[in-house]
Amino acid sequence: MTVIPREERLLNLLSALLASSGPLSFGAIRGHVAGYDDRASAEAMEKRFDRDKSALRKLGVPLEFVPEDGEGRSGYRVARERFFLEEIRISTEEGIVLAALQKGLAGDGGPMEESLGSALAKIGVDSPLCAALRESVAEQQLLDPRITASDREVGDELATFALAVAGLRPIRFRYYALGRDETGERVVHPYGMGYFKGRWYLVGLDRAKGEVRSFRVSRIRSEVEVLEEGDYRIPDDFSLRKHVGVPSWELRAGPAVTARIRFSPEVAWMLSENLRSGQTFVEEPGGGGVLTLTATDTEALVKWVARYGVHAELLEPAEVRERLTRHFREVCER
Amino acid sequence: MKGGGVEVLRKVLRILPLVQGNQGIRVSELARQSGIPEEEIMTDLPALVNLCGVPPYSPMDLVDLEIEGDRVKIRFADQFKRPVRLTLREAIALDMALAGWEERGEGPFGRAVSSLRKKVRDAVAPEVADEVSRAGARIGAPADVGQPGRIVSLMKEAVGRQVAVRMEYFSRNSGRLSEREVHPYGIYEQGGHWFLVGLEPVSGLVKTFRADRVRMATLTARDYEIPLDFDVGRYRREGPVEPEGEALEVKVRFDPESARFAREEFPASEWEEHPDGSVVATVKTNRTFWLVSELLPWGGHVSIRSPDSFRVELADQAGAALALYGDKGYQANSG
Repeated sequence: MTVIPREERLLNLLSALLASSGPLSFGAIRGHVAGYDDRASAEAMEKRFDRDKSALRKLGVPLEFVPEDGEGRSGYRVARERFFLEEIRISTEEGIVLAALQKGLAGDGGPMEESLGSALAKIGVDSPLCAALRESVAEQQLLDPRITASDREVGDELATFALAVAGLRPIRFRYYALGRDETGERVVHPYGMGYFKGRWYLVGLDRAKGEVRSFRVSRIRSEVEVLEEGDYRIPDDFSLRKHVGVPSWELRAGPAVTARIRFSPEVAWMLSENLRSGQTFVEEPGGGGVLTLTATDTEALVKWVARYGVHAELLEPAEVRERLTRHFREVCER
Repeated sequence: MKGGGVEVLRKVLRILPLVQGNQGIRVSELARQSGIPEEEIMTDLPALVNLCGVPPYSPMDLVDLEIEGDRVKIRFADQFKRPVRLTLREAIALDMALAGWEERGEGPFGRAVSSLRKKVRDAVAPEVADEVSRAGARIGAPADVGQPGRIVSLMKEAVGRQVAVRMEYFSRNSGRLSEREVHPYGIYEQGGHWFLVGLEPVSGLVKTFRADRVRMATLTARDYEIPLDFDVGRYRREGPVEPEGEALEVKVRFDPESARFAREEFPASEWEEHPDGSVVATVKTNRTFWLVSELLPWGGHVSIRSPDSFRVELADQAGAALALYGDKGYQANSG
């Protein structure tokens, strides 16, 4: 008999193991399962079987050896309940989310997108609802799956970070620090990942600096190396929200100032209806109002207020008001 | 099929349950769901799978995969009826995709996202379940302040029922708040913002509206039909619809100090680098009010190369803002 291709042999071995009602001994496999019925020596056959067992386990097949079952049989079995997905019931609303995610896949590659696609196919396998929804209203509700948000975000970096965060593994990479305009090596203990305004951020302990830092994934300038080192713990008081999605005027550490900003009626509602912790808003006659907030980075505050143009006036502190005046004057003079 | 022995097996295990659960599935649909190219499914899959089965390999012991036209069926493959549990990568990818929409209280999809995340965690292989749980706790999207869940929920309902919406909207094209009626055609999310695409009957134009600029919205009793050829994906790919009229080509110089920040943050279609370290960005738009608000934060770091009309508009807006601070020295339209 000719030696058959490896993938065919693996599929036959897995088929036989799954179809068997009890453990399958090597003796029952050798000479019977296609791929184990050629003229190879006993030793070669055993080595082949060892390699194939490793391959199946690498695939995630829970292949285990049973010394003796209830009927006195010994051999190999696949724990089906650990391998195969049980039936998953999906509600209508859940089906819409899945169908919209499926539609949102750009199909332009990337390991995370491939993983997402296969995950969606598995989760939705029991729900023909998902297939039908794709042809209907869900077509018009398009969600950005977020992991394919931009060309710099897709790729092994994101996948590696996510796995390192899950497994608490230190990582090393080269990072471009925009403020200092320089690239350097970082060793980080990842604590979490956050997504904000179209960007993914890794948050973790920067080992050299001894401080928790936030790293924008799009500024990674090398492959990410997962280090084979000891475990670390995430501090109990760590909160992702303190590092991702923080307003620009609160990012810098330092003395805080209290600022008051008046907004016009056209835009005041955007602020008053979406106050952050520590902010207050007082409405004024006519529909406008005054926002009070605390800032540690007044340069960032100036930029934020400037964006509103005629719709915002910074009332205090006086020195920041003066800076805004200079800011607008510079634009006029250019 | 492409890939080594284990990779091929991974693909087969992905495909077989999809066919089992949907006998007669189209090859194109199978390719889309599995991520495996159609040509591999058509030529390689039958060649491999139909040689496999269980001893003694009688005709009814061999897997029988049949492709008739563009439809796929399978028999004698009950051992592969169920999909394999989610791998660590699959679970993390799906959890990351869902993480951003899980909101406390009412969100655009209510409790569906939270319940789906739980189902994802229940669907993983036991040996990686702990890692997936930890990842789920550590990977997320802090809800944007102002995430307008209520508005997006209403828009979703409008699209589903095809009823017109009356809304008060702040336009960055005009810098004004105004009431308008819209026939929602679709919604999409991008870069942390929700967008509605719909017809504005008064103008007869299909426009894009950002949900966080909707102050108030109510459903009306007026129904309409969404055009059959409407594709919300096109609006997500191509960006917000520009108002009618010829787009202005604006060239903006960022000085050397601000150049690298601008490259990362400023929305330009083209960039030119200059020997002195400055960069010149090109933006094509007729939403000049929007462009003014994008440039005002940069202060004296920017100068407008062309056209003169936009340089004047930017200076006028800065001058109007300056007047709020008691400095009425700038004369509008002075150039």
